[in-house]
Amino acid sequence: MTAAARRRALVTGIGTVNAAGRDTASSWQALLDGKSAIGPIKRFDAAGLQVSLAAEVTDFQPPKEISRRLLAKSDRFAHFALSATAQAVADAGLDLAAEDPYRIGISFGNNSGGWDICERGFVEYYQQGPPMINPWQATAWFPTAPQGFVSIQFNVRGWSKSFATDRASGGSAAYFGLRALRWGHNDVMLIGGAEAPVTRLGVGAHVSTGELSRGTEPERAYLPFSPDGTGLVLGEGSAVLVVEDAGHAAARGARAYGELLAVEQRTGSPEDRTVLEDALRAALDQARRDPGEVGLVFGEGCGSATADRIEAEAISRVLPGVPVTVPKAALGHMYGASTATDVAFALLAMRDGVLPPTAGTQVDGPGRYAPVTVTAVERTIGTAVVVSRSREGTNVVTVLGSHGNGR
Amino acid sequence: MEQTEGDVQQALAEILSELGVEQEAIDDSAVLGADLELDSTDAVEIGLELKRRFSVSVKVQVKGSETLGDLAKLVVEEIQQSGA
Repeated sequence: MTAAARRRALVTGIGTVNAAGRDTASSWQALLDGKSAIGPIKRFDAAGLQVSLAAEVTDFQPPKEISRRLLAKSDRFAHFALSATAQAVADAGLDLAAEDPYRIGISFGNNSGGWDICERGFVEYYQQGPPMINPWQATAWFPTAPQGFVSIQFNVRGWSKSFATDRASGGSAAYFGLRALRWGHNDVMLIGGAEAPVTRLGVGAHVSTGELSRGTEPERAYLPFSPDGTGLVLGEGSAVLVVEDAGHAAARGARAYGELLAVEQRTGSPEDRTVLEDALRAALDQARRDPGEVGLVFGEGCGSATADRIEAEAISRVLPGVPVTVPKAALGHMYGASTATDVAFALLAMRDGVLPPTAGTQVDGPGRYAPVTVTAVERTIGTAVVVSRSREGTNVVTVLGSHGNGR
Repeated sequence: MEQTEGDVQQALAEILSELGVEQEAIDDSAVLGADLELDSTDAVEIGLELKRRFSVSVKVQVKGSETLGDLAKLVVEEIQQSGA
């Protein structure tokens, strides 16, 4: 297919679960209010873990249409994905029963797998012996489990994949999800991811990566693009986008939040800022947007002073002066769910004409490496960029166009 | 004997409930496969729970016509044999 004839991909539905809210509207409002959902870990006793904060999803209720039978066999991260998918499909007004199930696919990111079920399995293994391990251990913990359970529940049978690329897991899912549409594999893609690492063992394992902030003050523990940054705070949740071929969307009269213009991925040394620069330029080129048209960047902002300085330099070289925002400072880093969450907020920022604030920026004054948003500011945004970077050098850049701004 | 029967019925009801089976479906005459829609992984989990609770090994059949009542009877027999 030539570039001129390539299929356009519209985002027609959004579903989210995160620490700030169990649905898109409530979490978007919390983000605009500048509220941080980071706090002391409540789900388990975190004594002795070196990390005491997380952004936890509380009072979560799986959707009513998901049977208790399926919930009993699956992990928390799959429950989040089922909820986000149900929301996104309803939001898109997509009648799955009327669709060809072989033309709908899933592209999800997940980094950690299902730790609730792992903790149970380890107890069974070490305390009761190998024959007593629950029969769902193997299928429920695995990083592809959200894809599998969503596929079963929603009868999705088209080309589908799951991706594990550390913090960029959700970015890689967007990269291949968009290609699945452009390659003509499917007409509709459910693009997103899920993550639920906030268990005692899950947090303990993440501590060993050196990525986690050991801060104890919720408002100062996760400072993206700050010289004082000491790492990230873990979040949990899911985000799912219904991404649809424009012709398919038009045929059923669907309304769109905006257009997924391009996703480009580049890998190289994490210390080499030119790799991200290349990804940014390639994505803008694919999107046919000039750097001057970009109104807002969602940064990776992993909270490491070194990584964030490199990221800020790359962004400023390609997109000088463009405001940068980091919802992760409020919601924690959701790894596989982070890119779709940022894309969702980018689309809402363009819809509502507002730059969302970055939580925690009120307390530390100037000196950040990037022009990070501090308060909510009204601004017309036609093009937004979402950056996702892994620890070892995967860079994924997503470019979004506001509704009616496609070309 | 009656105590054991009651314990087993109670345990099976709890195990099935944990598996997500609706309370009103739990009945002695319910066929494990056809009525309760239990699959092979459910069968394994029920077997493991019975082992944890009563220290008996019972092969739970979900492919045939075995009812919940049949399973309860089998478990009671196993408990009695293991205690004999």
